[in-house]
Amino acid sequence: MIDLNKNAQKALDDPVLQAALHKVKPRFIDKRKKAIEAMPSFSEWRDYGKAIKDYVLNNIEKCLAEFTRNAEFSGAQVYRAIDAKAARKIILNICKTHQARLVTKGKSMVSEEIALNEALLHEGITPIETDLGEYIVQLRKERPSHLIAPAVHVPKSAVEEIFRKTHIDLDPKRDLSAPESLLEEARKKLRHHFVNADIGITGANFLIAETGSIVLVTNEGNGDLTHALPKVHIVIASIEKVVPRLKDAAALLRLLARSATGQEMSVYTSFVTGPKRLSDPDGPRETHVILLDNGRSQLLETEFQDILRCIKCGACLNHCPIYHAIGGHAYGSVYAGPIGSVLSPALMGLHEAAQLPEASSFCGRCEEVCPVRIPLPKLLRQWREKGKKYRPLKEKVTLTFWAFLANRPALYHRAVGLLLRCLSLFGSKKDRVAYLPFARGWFRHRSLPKARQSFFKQWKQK
Amino acid sequence: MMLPEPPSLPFIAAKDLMPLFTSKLVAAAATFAEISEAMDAKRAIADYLTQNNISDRLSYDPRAAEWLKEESRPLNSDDKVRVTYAHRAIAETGTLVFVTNDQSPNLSHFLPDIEIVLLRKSFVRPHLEEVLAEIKQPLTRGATMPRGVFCVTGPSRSADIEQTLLMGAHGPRYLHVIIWDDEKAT
Repeated sequence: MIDLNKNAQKALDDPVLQAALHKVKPRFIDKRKKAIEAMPSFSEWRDYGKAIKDYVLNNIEKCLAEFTRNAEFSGAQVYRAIDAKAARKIILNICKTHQARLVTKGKSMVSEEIALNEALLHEGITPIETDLGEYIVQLRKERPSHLIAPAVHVPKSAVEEIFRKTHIDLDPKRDLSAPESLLEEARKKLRHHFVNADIGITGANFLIAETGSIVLVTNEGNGDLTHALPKVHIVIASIEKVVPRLKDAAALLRLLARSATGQEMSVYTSFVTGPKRLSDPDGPRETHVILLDNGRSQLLETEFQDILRCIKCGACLNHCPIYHAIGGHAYGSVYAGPIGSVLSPALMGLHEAAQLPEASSFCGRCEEVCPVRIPLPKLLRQWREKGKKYRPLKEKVTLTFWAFLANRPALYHRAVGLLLRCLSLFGSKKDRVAYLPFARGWFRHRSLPKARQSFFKQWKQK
Repeated sequence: MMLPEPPSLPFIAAKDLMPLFTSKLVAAAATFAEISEAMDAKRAIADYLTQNNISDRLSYDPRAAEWLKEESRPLNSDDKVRVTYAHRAIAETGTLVFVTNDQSPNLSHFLPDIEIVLLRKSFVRPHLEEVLAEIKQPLTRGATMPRGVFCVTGPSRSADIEQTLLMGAHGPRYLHVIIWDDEKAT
């Protein structure tokens, strides 16, 4: 089981990570707020985002069938993969058929979910992540720690370090102090891979049923260099990414960029439909689209269906006080933050991810900012109900004891009176209590105000 | 369950279309120049190159080459400066829209360092929705969307290195748009 408690403690004690997480607020929260304020009708578009996604979830097979028909008509090959294993098998087969040695990858959380890179490496195929943040994280042999900014936890000095360590063919005396020089180096290196790749694998932000198109959104342009240069383009996308019409994708794009990075539109928004046409001067000769289920259809028509509305903008992570404190890796899953805490138990099972829904104070910010109005606190609460049996014994005993007291008011008052008297025995600083038995975890980062005498008398008189 | 319909698009008055487009272009870190005659395009490009000390050779997408009466040749991965031709543009976000066809490669918008775009004023639309509808609507049975419809808003960028926004991540570092006012009666 993912030990979120232990991971969180480690994250809190990591000064480098904490410094990096401090940058999340200005970069994401403030920018999003500014973009939303500039669009007075944003709330209506959120309602529409919810409505269209709900329509899709209630008609998913129809939408997927239409997408498949139109994608195939444009020359693409479309596959349904029931789980990660099936998806990997399809992709590896395509790679083997084309004797692929080098594969470039656009950013795809779904490809992380199916552990694609490991599977490719196992077959002697080299995958290169082309999103700069994903590239950095790949070199460091880590997982991404954020949906939109995978390397948000990596300071500049660490980027320099890993580049020096990896790009050994370059002059060791080169100056990499400016971030521009790091970007330039990554650009040159990755350009070489883009051009030499046998196959390009991307995800898809949306799948459009009426035209069989995929929508690919990046700020770097790496997605487009990935799908347009090699001879073969593979798309891996989860089934709930489908939307009925071009205008629905346009509507969701209004929500996506603003919620993710506070931009009105990302730099590159591409609608790609199948392989190159005969007369096109460039483009892939083959396009393969793999539609991944991996437990999602199990969520349809259940109390968790709403989570499938997610458009992977990352706003919930950016606003979550827990995420701000511990970062993405602590969640131990492909998906972190509130979305991760709801999706991970669904994809991995509660026996693995039961601690994740516990990592919430139910402040409700996530639901407030979700562009498609997913009721995240409600879903977290639902998982907590189901996850009761995974709670530690100590907690169950303590809560049972407390419940016993709380149901007997006179006894409760007496117990609290005793506690207040004892509190003054444990003071270390003047007015604050810094330690209580059995509560070291809580007191490690906090202190209690001491009960002053006057307060005690007042309370007693009530 | 009925397919829901989107809310009405944010209103943009006709007189505000171009000022909005150019202000959004600049906000996205692109640059632009306006010309009143089609044949001024060549000079406008030369001016841009001089002002920015660019001495690399230009290469042209076929439609752009036709406009400028230049030779077109296939895009090379070493081409530093490429002149392209916009299919449409979106005022709401300062976006250029390109489609692939025999006259228009995918990679012209991603491989070069500098992309210079020739745009006709009459191609500017208020929103993405209108552009997509115009691309899709005329498609009759048996026809598909162009393989690529690329919406480009400013030069390539990344903030993955310690949240510092930098241009030229993988795509072009600079995007310059030459807008020909083709609506003026000639």
